[in-house]
Amino acid sequence: MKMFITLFVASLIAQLLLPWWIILPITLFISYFFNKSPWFSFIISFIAIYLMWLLFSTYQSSMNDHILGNRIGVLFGLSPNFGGWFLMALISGIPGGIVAGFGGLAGQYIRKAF
Amino acid sequence: MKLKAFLSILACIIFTVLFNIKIGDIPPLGKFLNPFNGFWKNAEPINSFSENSTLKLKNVHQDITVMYDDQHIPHVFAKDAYDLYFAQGYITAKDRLWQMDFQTRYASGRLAEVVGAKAIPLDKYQRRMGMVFGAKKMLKESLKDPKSKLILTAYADGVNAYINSLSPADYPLEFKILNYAPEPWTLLNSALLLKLMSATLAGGSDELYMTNILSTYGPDLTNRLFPNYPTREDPIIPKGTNWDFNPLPVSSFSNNEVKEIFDAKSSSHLSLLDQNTLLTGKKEEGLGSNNWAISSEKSKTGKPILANDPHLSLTLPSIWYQIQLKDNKSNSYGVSIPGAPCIIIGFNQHISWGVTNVGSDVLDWYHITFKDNDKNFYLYSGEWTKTKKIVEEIKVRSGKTIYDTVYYTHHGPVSALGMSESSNLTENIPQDAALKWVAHLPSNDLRTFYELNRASNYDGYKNALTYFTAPAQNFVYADNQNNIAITPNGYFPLKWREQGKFVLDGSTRRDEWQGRIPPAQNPTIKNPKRGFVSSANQSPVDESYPYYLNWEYAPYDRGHRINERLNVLQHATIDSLRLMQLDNKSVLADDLIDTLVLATEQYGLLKPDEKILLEVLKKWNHAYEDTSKAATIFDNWYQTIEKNLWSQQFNIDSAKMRFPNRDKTVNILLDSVTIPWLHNNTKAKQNSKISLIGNSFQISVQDLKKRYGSFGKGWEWGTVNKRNVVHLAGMNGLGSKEFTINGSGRTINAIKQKSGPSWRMVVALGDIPTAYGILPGGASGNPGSKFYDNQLQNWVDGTLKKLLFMIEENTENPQIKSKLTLTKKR
Repeated sequence: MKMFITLFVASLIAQLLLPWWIILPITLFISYFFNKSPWFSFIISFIAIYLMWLLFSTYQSSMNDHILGNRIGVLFGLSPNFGGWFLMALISGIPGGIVAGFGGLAGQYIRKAF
Repeated sequence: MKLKAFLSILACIIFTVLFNIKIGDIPPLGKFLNPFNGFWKNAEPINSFSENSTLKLKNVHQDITVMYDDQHIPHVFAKDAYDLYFAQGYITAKDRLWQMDFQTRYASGRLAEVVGAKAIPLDKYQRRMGMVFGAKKMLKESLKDPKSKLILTAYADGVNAYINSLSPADYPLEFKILNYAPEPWTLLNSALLLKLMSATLAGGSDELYMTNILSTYGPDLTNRLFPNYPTREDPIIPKGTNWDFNPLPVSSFSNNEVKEIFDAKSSSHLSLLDQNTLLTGKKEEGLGSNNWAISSEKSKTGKPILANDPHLSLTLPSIWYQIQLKDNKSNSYGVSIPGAPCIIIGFNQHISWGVTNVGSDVLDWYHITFKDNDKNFYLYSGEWTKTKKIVEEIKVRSGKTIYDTVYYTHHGPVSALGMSESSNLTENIPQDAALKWVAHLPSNDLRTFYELNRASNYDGYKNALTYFTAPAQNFVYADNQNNIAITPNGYFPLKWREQGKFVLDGSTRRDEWQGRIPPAQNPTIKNPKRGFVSSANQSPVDESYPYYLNWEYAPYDRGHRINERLNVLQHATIDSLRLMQLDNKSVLADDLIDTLVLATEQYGLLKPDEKILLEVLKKWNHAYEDTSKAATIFDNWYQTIEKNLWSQQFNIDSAKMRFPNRDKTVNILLDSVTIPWLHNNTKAKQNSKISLIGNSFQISVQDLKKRYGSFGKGWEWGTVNKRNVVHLAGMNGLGSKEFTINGSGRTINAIKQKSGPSWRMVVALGDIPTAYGILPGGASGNPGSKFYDNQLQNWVDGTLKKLLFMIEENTENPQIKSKLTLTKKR
């Protein structure tokens, strides 16, 4: 839980100021520091970032009455009648989750290797 | 373990890079989807209007206030002209930066840089049309004028101040989708956008088609089917108006000489028939506009009322940007071109003005005789003259740079020459022909709008018009001193009759433009007896005008219907003129339907269901309403008749020809003209016309059944012509929803598949004008803003919104929702 909260808070602050890929060094470092099993680190990093992106995009979409989320849904080939914005929000977290997950994994493997 | 560490680091790098670059048409996923600086950042909160804010900027002279009303339309209050146009640039960029960037790239042939190889043919086309060549000449001329220089510079400074304030997270949505960054704004960009208007409105040509027709059928038939003035016309300057000036001499030819010219063309241009050709827009009907003004006698308010609806290809973000601009010496409201200073169509406290396109012939092709394949020399006046080579460098995104050599003669660029790329753009540029185009002449058109924005009376209007070159426009005018006027205005080349109807000979002085019609002799009329002025792209003048302008204009339908209604109009209000803009009555149906129905009845041979459909047509009110099934039948029927009548002889695809115009077709159907292949002997004459009409009806009915099923709701005009407004770059999801709507390209309410009224405006003059307007879109260019298309439904419904015209800066006005102050950075 501590690791999750640390991941969440650290990457939230960093992302408000820096490009999206700042999550990579952050998850890598945090995973190194907390020293859990590699695949646990992968999953918890993935979930932390995925959730953050999902929540934050859902929040922004609600404030916008989902105008843009639905439009981009159509751009991505999703049906507008099928909750386009929500699918978009679900998809949105995936790239962040993947990069964060591998960051977490790499952090542990690096610790174990050196 | 080291291997695992290595592999996991590799995975990190691969995914991070993969999600940070654009692959094909897919945006960079990590960069684009993350909610902190990806596309979600462009989702504007709908409830909070942006709060009042103050920005400190280096260039600003004194405090500038921008007030946004409840439609997000900005009202700018500045002290001097520099600040005014600085602010216009700044806030236009704030709402429309991507549109400005994309359109200037489009105009200058630089789209491939951002969208890749698919744009190469288009980029080549724009460069071979000399778009940048024309824009540079315009800019050079404009910068000689201190006023134009000031406003262009101020505007660019404003745009750049905005661009410099952006971080990648703030970029407009489409920059993120296409993954590129905005560039600094240049003065040339503003000139390019004005040139784009010329390309849209005065960039079409059909000389190649006409030349092919001439060489195939000879001068007699060509003259008969493609005459120089239509039978039905209701010109802008009323018939019988006297021209009180002494015209300049123009060379003219004896009949023998004309025959020689035609014979020479007939033989020398046969070679054009089978050549590969490059692409331009053909002239398109419906890409026109309406405007009119009524005198104080016709209006209920006792002051003139002016209306304008310019028709263009409709796209989102909206073509126009609505704005009010006030400084110490001027206060005007209207629509502007995103990317260029001043208001183009609008009003101030004293006057109102609007524009429609003049279809005069200002673009000609000159056939060039090259000395050899090196194209270094071409024949002119008996001598080999050197060409100028310009190597165009087209940078292609994730591809290699393409080089394209364009040869310039003194006429202009040789546009089609070894172009092999085909595209779905139309093909009507002759091979080895140089383009002479008014859009390549030095000009200072912006000054016209600067002056109109500041004019307070008729003299101010006339003075403003002297600066205008292209694309020639019918400038309609009304003021609160009870004057109305209209002036078809621009650079009209001095030509002999029919000069430029066919491809011209680039080797002889005889075919050169002979100068310019003196601007003071451009057609114009002030306060005519009939109590109104109007235009709808029809012929500006009757046949008594001493100069040749063109042989063909938009059909008379819209213009005639406008005049028909204005003639009987009394005690008119803003709403009467709004309703006129929505008029769906077809003059073509008025002219034809009785004859067509009668002929079809005489034809006999009709099946029972076809008889029923004929009855539907008889009861039709000739209006293109969305629920009208008769409109669908008539429209399809008329097009079938045209096709059956002309397509054998004038094949567009294989022979590169065009059909005779609608006026001619109507004449034939009403039996006042004969043509050889239809009327090959007098005995068969009547029968052949009847069978053409009756047979076309049956074909048309079959076609409609095949497309829309059995006769019923599926045949309604609105249903078979579902419309939507597409995104400027055709991005899915960023256009509008589909809607059904009244109107057709043939009616005053000129709504077509892709084009329509890009701005509807009605202004009642007075001490303070009362004005209404609507855009098929909205003020914002951001698809994530509710102001992106919030006016569209009103536009579809045919309602207008009252325009907030503020005399003084007043933040207390309940319609004002937020305030932005630009102040000097010290």
